[in-house]
Amino acid sequence: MNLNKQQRLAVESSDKYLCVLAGPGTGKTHTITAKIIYLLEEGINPRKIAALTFTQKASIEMRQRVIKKLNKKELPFIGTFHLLCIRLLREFLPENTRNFNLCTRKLQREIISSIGGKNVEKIIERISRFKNKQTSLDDKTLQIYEIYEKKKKELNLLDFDDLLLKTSSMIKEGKIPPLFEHIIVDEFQDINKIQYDIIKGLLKKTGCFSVFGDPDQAIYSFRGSEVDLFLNLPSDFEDLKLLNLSINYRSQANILLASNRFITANTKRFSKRIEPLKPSESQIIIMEVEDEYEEAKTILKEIKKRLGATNFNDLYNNKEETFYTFNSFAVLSRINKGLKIIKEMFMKEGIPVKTIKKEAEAWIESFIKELTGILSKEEIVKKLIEPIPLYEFLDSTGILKDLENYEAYLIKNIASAYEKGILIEQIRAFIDELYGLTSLDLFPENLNAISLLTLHGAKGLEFPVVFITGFEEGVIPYTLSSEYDIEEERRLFYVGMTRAMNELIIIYAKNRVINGKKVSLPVSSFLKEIPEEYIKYEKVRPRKGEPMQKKLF
Amino acid sequence: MFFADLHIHSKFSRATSKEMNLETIEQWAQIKGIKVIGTGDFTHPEWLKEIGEKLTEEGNGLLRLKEKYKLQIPESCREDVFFILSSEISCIYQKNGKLRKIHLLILSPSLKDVTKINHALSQIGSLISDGRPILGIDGKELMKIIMDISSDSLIIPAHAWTPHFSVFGSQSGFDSIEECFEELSPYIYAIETGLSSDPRMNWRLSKLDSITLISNSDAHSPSKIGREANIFDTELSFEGITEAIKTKKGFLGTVEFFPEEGKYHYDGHRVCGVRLSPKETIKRNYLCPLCGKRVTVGVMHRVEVLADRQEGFKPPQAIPYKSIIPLQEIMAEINNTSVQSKTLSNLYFKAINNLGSEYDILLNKKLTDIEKFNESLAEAIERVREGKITVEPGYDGEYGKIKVFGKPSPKNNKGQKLLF
Repeated sequence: MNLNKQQRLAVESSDKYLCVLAGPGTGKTHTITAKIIYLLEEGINPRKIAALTFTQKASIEMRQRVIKKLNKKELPFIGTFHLLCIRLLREFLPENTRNFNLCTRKLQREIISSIGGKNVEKIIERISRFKNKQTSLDDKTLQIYEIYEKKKKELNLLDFDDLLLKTSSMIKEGKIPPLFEHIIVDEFQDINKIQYDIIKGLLKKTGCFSVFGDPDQAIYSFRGSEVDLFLNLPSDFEDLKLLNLSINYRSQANILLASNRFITANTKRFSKRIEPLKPSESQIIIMEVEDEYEEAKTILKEIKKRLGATNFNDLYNNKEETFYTFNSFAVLSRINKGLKIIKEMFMKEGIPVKTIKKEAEAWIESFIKELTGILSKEEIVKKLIEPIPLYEFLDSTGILKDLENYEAYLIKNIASAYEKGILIEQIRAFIDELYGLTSLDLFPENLNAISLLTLHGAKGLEFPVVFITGFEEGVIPYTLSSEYDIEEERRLFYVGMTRAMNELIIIYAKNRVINGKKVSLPVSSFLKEIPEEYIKYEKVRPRKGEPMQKKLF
Repeated sequence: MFFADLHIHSKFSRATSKEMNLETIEQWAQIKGIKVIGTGDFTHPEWLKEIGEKLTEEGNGLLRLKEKYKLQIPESCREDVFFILSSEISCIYQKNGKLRKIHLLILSPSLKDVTKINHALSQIGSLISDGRPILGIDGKELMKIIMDISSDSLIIPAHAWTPHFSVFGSQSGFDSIEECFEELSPYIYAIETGLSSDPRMNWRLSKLDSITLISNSDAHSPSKIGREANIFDTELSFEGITEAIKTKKGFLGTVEFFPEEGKYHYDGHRVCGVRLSPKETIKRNYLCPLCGKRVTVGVMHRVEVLADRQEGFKPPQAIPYKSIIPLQEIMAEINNTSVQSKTLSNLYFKAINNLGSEYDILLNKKLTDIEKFNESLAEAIERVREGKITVEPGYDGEYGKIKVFGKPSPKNNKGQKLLF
């Protein structure tokens, strides 16, 4: 595999504790995959290796790359924390409970509303926070919580929090022994305390652990992840080896250098080196628009300018030669609602768009239901104890035919990791894994359409041209929200900036309707944290009596 | 023998006339002399709903307008009209590092198949905003999807030479059918020559010898229906028509625009009003002599680039074709009025009432019969049938200026008097 010098050091490092600081676009996934393959080639038993990721998408991608290099050899564990916990619990729980079922979000909702809870989603959130962080619960919720736990126990259900908590407590009680010689963690900045305890508990005394990540991209504190765990690594492990993947393959120099300077305004971070491989191209464009409608129109116009005409009427206004296609563009927003008008306008123009669909859960449920329906057919039952590779079986049932392209692709990639053992065992493991899929995993990355995403949703993706909308104080940073952490807001914007490969266009509106109220917000205070030399102002009109003006002109 | 115009657009497509509804389309097909007309836009949910309500499937893969919807038609041209389910997709995607924009025409045999196709396509992009939907899908992949769902459907590259949105287009097309459709190329049985090219130009590519060269109007308004069409001598059915396209048996040829009249025959830059022949374009390094921007390379130039035969070459199996000028344009010239004028509309319908459908007048009617109606018209039609016309070629979206009598028309006043 092609590796640069730092990547190679990370791959071949035999340090007991390795921390690889990998900024955006520095080939992190590539390096982790190379490391897994390297370990296998060094003769390490695949069962002694675990690579942990935070999304199934990442684990699927790594598995595919490893499978390609491996030639039918056994695959080590590559998957999410949840999947690892399911596997461990199915192995180490007492026999009467190890065949637990997952208490999915849908089941959670059903149970809690049957107890009589109103505002079910909030209660689920509160219970989850209580279980993970021991936050306090009011009496009423506490009561619901207790009945909820009892019901789960009766039905032998574990919810997603239980998976981690149970695993963690079993490790502490010595019921799950340290199993791995090598543990690799991807996106370590997203880890929470329980997950951290789990990996420490699963590492053999003689084992090594390597974590990869970028504290500047930690954007999930609302889910309980703690960037401090990353930042404390050097004090937790005195013999920690710190490496820095510095070469960025993604963004042209202006975007990269600007974002890197921008993020230094944060204090909770490691300083990291980052070097652009691509020379400077255009500067970052800052645009002012009147309101959200002009914002949408401007984006549409800018895209058409780069794409050329999409129908005969557009000819002559637009240049024709371009290397871009719909897939080259992403429009990012801090808040989900910020994309609504843009989406409507694009749809009206007949320009294909894609968004993260919220119905992932329902889709997974229905797919699993269909699958289990097939399994109960008489002619299928006989096959279940035969050693048929899973994908071959799924394909033969015709269940994949009704799926969208990208869904079929996803299913195929998950299924192709299973091929050994009797079919029913493979299917059980497969279903466990399906339940962990999220809306983010179901985003049709390859569909040739313009991506409309929140800043959170854009993590891990890259696009030749990126628009960031709503660059107004209050939205970015989202100080209109009751709970916000300015450093996390800055990281979130940093994630957005670093999605762009060639062009970054940042737009703010003078007026915007937020939560039904028309507000006039000043341009984001983040603007002055981006060095002027990387910025070009377009469409920004001078106005009287605004402090902005002086700075801009 | 019958004429078929397989590619039009409904009122649900961009920049089309509000009049493009099923009733008016059926009416105008008769005025023009078209027996089989494409529905256009079957991918559009609302249009498909109208198709389902107002047409009935005849069991032969074609549909007819229900009796109660039929509009008044001059007796001289009253005929049964059959609809064929058709739609056009705009595929915009990247292939081999270049942005491609190609339009594909789909012909399908049943409402059942069309419903399935629409379901599949609605996963890829929005079908509701435009009767000719834009999908970010590779043309070949689109073909695969449609063939999987409806193996009898036919996919035909639309106006294959148009610079901006076609398979051979100079701006964002390909150099060959194979480059675009790869292993599915054998299932490309036909291409639309488009207004700016005629079969003679296409004969210069030996690779197209096996391809059936079809022609359709791509009409956006009723009066443009049938400005180009195909001539079939086969069973009046979906299978009959598609088999003839596939095998050329029963495909008698096409009715064509004079290609010079098409909007993209020559090269040029419309904004500056600069028209260039391919040779001039090369001499000027593809730049507009006035503003220095790149010129739009037209169809003739593009044929020249891809051709492997000399101008004038006629393959032995070549299927003949007939060139026409739309009757309204001929009459507008004679009467020195505009095509859109009320005067002309009256004159046009007078001719239709007296003589028969437009195709009948342009192609079949004896000159002596036309003479009885109007001498200048007979003389003009004789000239068109013999190809004795003059044209300033079209370029960069500007239609060519075609004259039957040259400019100024000597028959101007005489004609006008006679017609009134």
